[in-house]
Amino acid sequence: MFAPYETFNILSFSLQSQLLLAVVAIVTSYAFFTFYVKRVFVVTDAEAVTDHALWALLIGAATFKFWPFFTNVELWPDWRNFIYYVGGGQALIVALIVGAIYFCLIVWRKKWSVAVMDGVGIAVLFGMFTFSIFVKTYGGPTPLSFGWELDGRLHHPVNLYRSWLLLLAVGVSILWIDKDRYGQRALLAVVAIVLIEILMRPFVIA
Amino acid sequence: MLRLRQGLALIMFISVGFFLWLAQVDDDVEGTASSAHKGFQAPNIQLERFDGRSFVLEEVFANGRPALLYFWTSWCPYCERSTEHVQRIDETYGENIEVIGVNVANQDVLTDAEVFIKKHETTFTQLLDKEGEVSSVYQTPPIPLTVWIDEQGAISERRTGAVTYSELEANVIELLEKGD
Repeated sequence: MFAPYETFNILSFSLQSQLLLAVVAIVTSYAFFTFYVKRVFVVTDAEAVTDHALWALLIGAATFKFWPFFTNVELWPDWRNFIYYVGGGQALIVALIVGAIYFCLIVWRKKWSVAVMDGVGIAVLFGMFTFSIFVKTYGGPTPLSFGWELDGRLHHPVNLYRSWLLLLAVGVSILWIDKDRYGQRALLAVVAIVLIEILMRPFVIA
Repeated sequence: MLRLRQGLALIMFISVGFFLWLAQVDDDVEGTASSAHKGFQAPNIQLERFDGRSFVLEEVFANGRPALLYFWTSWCPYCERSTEHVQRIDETYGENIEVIGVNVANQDVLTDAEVFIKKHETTFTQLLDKEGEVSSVYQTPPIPLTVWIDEQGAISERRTGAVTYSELEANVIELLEKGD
């Protein structure tokens, strides 16, 4: 378990644990998705599906990287700015939306089975679980005898609460919903994420 | 399979029930602890300025002003890019917000840091973190680190890496509107 701002030094680069583990979570998510469409629900044209999923991730990553240049035209003239600026503000949300729109458009255009979106749903839950289990989120002070210690007082281990509920959602998705009921696993993923965030709201700070 | 499903349903109901109960018994979720995390009270800073005068962060909040903390070093290319934007924020919003630069001096050379300040013609408060203790508490490196703190002393946002003027301004405006 890592504190979100804990730093790993690799040569002259310093990487914060939350960034590093976000990358790990995305890779895990992609691997899970690939397994799902190739082995669990054998989607026709599975190779093309995973290729476009990878493109969606790359487009999302590019949007995240170049977001400051969409919002700050004054950065354009100096090419060195392209090295130094990345993300910030709403970059993550925009990157997720752009990647998702790209993939949905491809699914719609190629008339792929909705089972592909079911794979995306479970993969997203699994990726969020991976991130939550590794990166500490400090909540408000807890009356319980366990939690993350900050400034001499125990605080809600919100990431553990969240990862437990995400794991249950993955379990429900796999055990309760038949894989032939297209679209239901995707729908469950969306509903689960919303409900988990509502449940976590009282414990989260800021 | 059926038992597995029933077991999972039971665990799910117990879990949801537990979190709903916990939310009821625990209404004290204010981030009163001092920590460099978003939502918590910003750890106090007591450092010397470049001119030798002392500085205490808590006094800023005692005067009802929000603060913008900016950790930098002279050799950092990201700081080279961001400092002009921080300076613009001080010029535009300096009357309403305390802009504070903290040189991570234990990773820098004093003369280089002074040259850096002159080169960028910064007018905001500049502090020397000689032992790197404050930087360590705020969990730097990586640098630059920008921290937005409201007038109550709570961290409203933090950002590692080069920052643009629009990002700085958006968060400063949010802080000022919150204080109104």
